[in-house]
Amino acid sequence: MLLVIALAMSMIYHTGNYARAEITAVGANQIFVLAPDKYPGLDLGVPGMVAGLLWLRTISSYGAHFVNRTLQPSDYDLYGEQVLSIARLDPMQVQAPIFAGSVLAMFGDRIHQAHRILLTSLQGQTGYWELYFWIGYLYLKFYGQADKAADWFSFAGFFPDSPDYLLNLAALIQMDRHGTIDPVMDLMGASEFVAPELRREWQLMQIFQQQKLRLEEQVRSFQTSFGTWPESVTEMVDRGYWSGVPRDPWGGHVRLAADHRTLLPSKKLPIFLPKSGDFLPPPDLESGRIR
Amino acid sequence: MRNLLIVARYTFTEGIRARFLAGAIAGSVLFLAIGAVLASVPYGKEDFLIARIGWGAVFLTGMLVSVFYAIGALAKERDERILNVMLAKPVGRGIYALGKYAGILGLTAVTVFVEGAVLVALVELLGGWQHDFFWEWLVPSAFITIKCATLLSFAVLFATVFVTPMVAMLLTGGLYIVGIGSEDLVLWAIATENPTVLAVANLIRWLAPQFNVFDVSGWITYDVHMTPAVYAGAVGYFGGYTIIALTFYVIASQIRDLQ
Repeated sequence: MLLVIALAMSMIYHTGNYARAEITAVGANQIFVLAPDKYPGLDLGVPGMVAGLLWLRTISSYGAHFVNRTLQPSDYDLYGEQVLSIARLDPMQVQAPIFAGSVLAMFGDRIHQAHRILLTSLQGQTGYWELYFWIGYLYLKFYGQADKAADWFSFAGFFPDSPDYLLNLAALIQMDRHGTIDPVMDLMGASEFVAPELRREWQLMQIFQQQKLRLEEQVRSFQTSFGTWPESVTEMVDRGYWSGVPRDPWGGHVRLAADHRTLLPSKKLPIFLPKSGDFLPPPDLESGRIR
Repeated sequence: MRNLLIVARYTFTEGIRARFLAGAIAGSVLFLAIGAVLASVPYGKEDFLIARIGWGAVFLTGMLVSVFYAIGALAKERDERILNVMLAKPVGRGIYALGKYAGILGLTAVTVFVEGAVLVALVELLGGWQHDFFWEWLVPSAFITIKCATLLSFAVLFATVFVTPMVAMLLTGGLYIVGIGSEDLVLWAIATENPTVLAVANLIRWLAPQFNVFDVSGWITYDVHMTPAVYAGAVGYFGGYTIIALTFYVIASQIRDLQ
């Protein structure tokens, strides 16, 4: 066993890719990039924990420089490298794609780094809507592909906890592009994101989405009347808003989320993942080539 | 079976007396401190972070505590010749060895589940998402215990085969490091384009259990949809390694020289 370890360490040491020091400090801010994903075993077998701790370090550093107005343009490259390393360690982590979109792309103009992080985060297979939103944002703002952006916004809009404006935004983009107001539900029914075997489930999700909008309007009406949000779905029935607890398209009773204003389906929804190739590696904005 | 349970209970009680659970309580306090720090991060989604970092810490502490305790306990037993006394009673060596393992595993499970409960309670307290306390506590805790059980089985095997505790600890640690790094070794081997190196790397990957696969706590934290078959695969993967290691452990216990 010791021989195996020695062999492994030796291989790592003598390999250019792995032996190259990845800890760099550039610029006046001396920002260090730690990339344990490039070394075998450095994630300690708990990559999620290491990624979380690295994220705390990164966001603290970025926040301090941002508030003190000491950020250098080159710092964004280093933060991008760091967050990419975090996403590789833990593709499920939700903070990495948010940072990619809201900081690297919006403030830092580091489109390719943001794209790579989002691409890595897609492997995490989470149903977190912001990941898909930021992919749409890249398409809309930087790649000039409004149709694709609308698809991704719609896609994000169907995930639990996503804000309602996403579907409206997608519809507005479609209207702007084609001059017609396509019903968003129909638009998504034809979405090519969804694998054929999941189409039925996807249609049920669309029906639930329509039901959700209608029922949440009634919950808001409850709040307007009584000044408080309902404690549970049964309170809506007790106060005469509903004749019974509504059933969702899957046949179970809808539930009220912890915020007392969002309605949830009776079952955990499947995650609809984009097919490979739906989000390609970042194109070179100048030459148009994939790089 | 009755003898096995008696030995397991004896080992468990010894562990409690050795303030084994104090480690769990200390770990829980650590989580509270981490949670408090995380909650002060103004960027949101802190409940995800608390859960992710917390479950990693639960796994690491559960693993370290169980391995160190197991190797230490077996070495102490050997030094104090407790085994000679025990085997004067009608208990087979194999049963005694398995009882020791079961007792230490029980201590590990208590540690993991207690720490897990504190962690999930913390997330419930500070988090903003919809939680199913028992699902988010029991399932990750159970899978972490299963992973710890695998490493523990190798630890007791090494502690039985090798007299020196340090050697047993190094071997257990080496197995863990090789296991979690084996995927990277294979990638490196592919890059070398050398078939022999690739074969060796693949062999290492198959031999050493990879403790960073089947990230059940991560799936549950991020609500990633997984089928029961995947969970069954996780149990089968680690269960298989555990059974193999325990088999060798029992054989080693049978033929071990008590002098």
